[in-house]
Amino acid sequence: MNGQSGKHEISGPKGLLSVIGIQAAVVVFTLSSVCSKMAGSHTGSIELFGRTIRGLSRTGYMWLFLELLCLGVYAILWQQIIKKYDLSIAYANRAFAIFWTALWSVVIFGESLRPAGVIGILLVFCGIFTVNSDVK
Amino acid sequence: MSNSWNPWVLLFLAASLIAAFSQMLLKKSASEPHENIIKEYLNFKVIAGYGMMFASMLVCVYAYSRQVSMQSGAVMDAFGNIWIMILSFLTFREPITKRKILGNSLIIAGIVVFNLF
Repeated sequence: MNGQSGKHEISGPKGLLSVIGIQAAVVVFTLSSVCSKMAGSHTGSIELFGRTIRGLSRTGYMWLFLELLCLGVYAILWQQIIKKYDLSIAYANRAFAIFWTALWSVVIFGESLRPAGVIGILLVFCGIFTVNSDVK
Repeated sequence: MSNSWNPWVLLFLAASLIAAFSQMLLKKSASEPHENIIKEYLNFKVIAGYGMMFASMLVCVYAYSRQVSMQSGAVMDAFGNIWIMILSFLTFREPITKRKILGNSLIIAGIVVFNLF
């Protein structure tokens, strides 16, 4: 298989499918942040071979494992994405993680999203759209 | 979400730089021909790339354990776009165009608005 860097469209009707494909990977990636936050909030210690290991609790390590699982799936998807598109273009699309993460933080953690947060997300969206429109 | 400044959020900047270098290794591997799909993933560059990403992830977990909010952490991480634009130019000669600069500036502006207001 040969690398075909930057040969696929990301603007126009065909590009919409490309963007959806990239966003599917980004959603999986942001779920890893959910697990990271969960792991960070489960500090403690575990007993292993008679020794106490401080850091995370058993639940914390479970979330760390789930984070690795999400990153594994994301890794497989991402490698295929950057094979098709310029890294600077693909990575800019990854910035929409701000939207997904804000969504999870509100829905899962009950954090509040201020009006400025919505404006910020809209600016990021405009930025991604501008970068995508660079590809002819 | 707390509105007070938490200096531990700066750890995310370091984490994003480590992650940006890891992306260079991944792209390098993705741009090269491979005999089969297994070797596409199991090669030195990909393994080293994800090793660096794992290190970046541990830095993030530590920052979160210092009470950095999820929203703050995520937006600081987005500064990786700047690292990527510069490193992609230096490594792969991907052009830094006006639209890329404008687009990434809007992304950063969005991050600042999201985080500071």
